[in-house]
Amino acid sequence: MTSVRLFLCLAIAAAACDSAQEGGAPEPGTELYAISPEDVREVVFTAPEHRLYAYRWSPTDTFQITAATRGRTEVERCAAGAGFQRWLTAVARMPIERKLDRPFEPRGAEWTDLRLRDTTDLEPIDVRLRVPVANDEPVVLQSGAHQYAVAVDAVTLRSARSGCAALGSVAVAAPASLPR
Amino acid sequence: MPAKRIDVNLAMQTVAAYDSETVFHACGCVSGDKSHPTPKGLYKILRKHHPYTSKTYKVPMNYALFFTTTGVALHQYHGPAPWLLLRAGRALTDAVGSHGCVRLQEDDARKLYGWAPIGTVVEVHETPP
Repeated sequence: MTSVRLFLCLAIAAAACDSAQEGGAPEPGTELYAISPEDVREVVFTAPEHRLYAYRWSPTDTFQITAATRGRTEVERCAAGAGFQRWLTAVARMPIERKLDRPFEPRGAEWTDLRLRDTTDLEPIDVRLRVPVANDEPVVLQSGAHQYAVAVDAVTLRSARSGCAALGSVAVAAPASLPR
Repeated sequence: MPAKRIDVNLAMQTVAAYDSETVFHACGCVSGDKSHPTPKGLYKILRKHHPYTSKTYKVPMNYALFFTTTGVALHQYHGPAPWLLLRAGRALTDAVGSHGCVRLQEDDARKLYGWAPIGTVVEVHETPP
């Protein structure tokens, strides 16, 4: 009877103290995350020279995009078009190709921050991505202390830098002015 | 019937993954405790994330397959006690368990994570043997 009690106490203690362990590094082929593009409600894409914000109130609505570029006084606003749908589909899952043996300097003009918020109460997905200017370099995702090449089309990701010209359908409002 | 579905039996503390009618993988699990029972019902996988640490609870939840809008997921067990001990404890009392998530051994969690796409049906029920 004593041994059963001891066993029970150990099991309860084990369940109670769910200690934090360092997570395992994702293997090649693993999706670092995946989400249905249909469930995404809000997107924030931040690069040193560009800002993109897209929002819709419900999954049946069209995304409304606001895009800004450093050095330009005007902020673009437009309804999302097919280009944005392609871009959103591209960032909705991040399959890892390989771990980089020689990581990139984690700062610079090519590094972007992406936030995806969906219709759930879950925390948003926040990732840091290096979107290369050159086509012969992979898109790189920073995860903890490691960097991974991910199977995401760089050309599609770069289209966010063109704002409404690449992502929008038709302009829905006159451009607003931004203070310099 | 959807091609891929995951069956969680709370009474048996088991998880079975089906591709059509073929069992892809079956394993044991530890679900929510008496105070935080895993919600029964029919769901679908809404989000996958690995590695993943909950900012709310500050605990790792690797190979997380979220199937409710409030954050209930199938994921890897990270506790300090051996898995067999946890399972045995759960068999003795439902005071042992998670805060609602379905905990799995690492190999099982990895296998399900790689197999189940977004939208995979998850059925949580309590069917005695």
